[in-house]
Amino acid sequence: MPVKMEQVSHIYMQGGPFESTAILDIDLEIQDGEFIGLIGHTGSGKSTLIQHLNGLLKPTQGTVIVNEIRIEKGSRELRAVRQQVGLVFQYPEHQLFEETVARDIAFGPKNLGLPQEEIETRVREAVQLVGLPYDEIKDRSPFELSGGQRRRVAIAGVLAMRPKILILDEPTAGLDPRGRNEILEEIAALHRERGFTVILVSHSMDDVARLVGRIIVMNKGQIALTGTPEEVFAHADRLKEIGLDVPQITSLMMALKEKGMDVPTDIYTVDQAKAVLRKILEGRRHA
Amino acid sequence: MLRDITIGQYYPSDSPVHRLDPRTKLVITFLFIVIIFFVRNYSGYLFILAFISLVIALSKIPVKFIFKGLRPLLFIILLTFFINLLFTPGETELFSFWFFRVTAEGLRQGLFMTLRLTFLVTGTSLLTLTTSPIALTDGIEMLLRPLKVVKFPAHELAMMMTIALRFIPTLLEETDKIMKAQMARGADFESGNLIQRAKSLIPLLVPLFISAFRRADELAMAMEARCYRGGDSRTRMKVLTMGLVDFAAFGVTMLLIAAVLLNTYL
Repeated sequence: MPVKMEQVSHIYMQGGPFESTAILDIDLEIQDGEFIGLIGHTGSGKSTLIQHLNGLLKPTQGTVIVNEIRIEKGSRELRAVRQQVGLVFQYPEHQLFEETVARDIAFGPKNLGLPQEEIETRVREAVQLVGLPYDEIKDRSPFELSGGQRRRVAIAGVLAMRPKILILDEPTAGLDPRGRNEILEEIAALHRERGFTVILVSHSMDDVARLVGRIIVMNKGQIALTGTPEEVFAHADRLKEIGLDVPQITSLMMALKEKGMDVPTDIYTVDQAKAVLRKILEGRRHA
Repeated sequence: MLRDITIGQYYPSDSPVHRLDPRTKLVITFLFIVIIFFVRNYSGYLFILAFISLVIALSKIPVKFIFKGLRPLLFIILLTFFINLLFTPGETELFSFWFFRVTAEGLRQGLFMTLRLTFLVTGTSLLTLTTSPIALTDGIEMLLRPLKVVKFPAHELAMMMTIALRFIPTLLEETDKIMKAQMARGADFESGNLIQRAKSLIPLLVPLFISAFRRADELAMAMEARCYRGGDSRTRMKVLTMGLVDFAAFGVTMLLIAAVLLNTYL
């Protein structure tokens, strides 16, 4: 189910004194099964962009095409799009409202008008997808869970709609390192094992670099860079100009190279770096 | 959708009106409201119009912006006009249809009410447009201070107002966000009958209340951590002082009052 954006612009409060252009002339194509990292500073237009992908915002100019449904300025009836494109907002646990976990997750499927048994299957499946024990948790109030668990419940609430594309806006914000790794690992598993097309929005290169297949860098409402992590990190200078950085491990490798060590700089995970450095150090010992 | 509301909004700019002491603006607005009710004929409104135009010109706020703020009230203004037009008893009949009688007195009354409402709203919105909420509550606090003698909690009231005003945009943003999050889960806030619509607000209101309480709790904690305690012997960073501009503003207002009173009673 490919997604296509053609010349999409969005202007907030058009014509008013506080008019501001959030995104400008975006052309973008996303294929089935891609894992995309969308990176940019606050205010670079990331959030505006993703809200176009499920019709919460409509372009002031241009067209978004999701699975042959066109989203344009005056489009209506976009519920079908919202079912297919699941959008998890920042701090999604703030949207929880029901008395029990199961009922909160059932909110989405219920809105789709599904029969009761189908809703139950979906809720069970969604809870398991985010790695929570269904029987233990289903009758508890979402408000007595821990922060990380609450976030998982909220993500399950979106997964229960059975979307084909999953967009997550800063899913790790405000979590400790362990919680962060767990959530990212689960997202990666959704992509790997369930074949979701995933768009991960983040301002952290480190999180994104080791997971995604393609990076899109946004700056001032436009796409500044796009490509595989290697391709994007090759433009370290351009990234710095935008105010972003290469992953910490990559900048370590660059610093080593500057100091005269013969190391490659297209490295962006700790594991890769470990392997390379070990090889070099062992080589030295033998010499 | 929610962002289109301009009543009570502050329009930042550097103008003589913006620089006026908030107390001056509060008192002048109050006098302005009172004097509007003294106007008895059309020529009186000319003075009001002149005064308002002067303030708008000095404040550097685009006229278009001010009219935009009037738009949500258009319905009320029109309703008032037609009710007065159709139901004011009078002698000189202009024309009649069905069981309505439109009289010259009715027309006059309708026009008067419309003008009065429009000027009232414009005048008061100029206050909030040119005064930041913080300055406004500071001004209110200072003006209410004499009431301390009768144990009136001026400072606490002002602090509550400041906090409430401070959280309006935050809560609007939050509402927008939660609404979108629930819409992403297929929620529908726009269709259905009254009961269905009211029900559909639950997924919006529950998180909103929870977040408001959470924010209140966090704010109280933060204030406590910085040793906040009520009004007595509390100094302020910005001390309000009256200057020449303020006296000039009072002068102009006095002129307006004199003109209107003379116009009405002579």
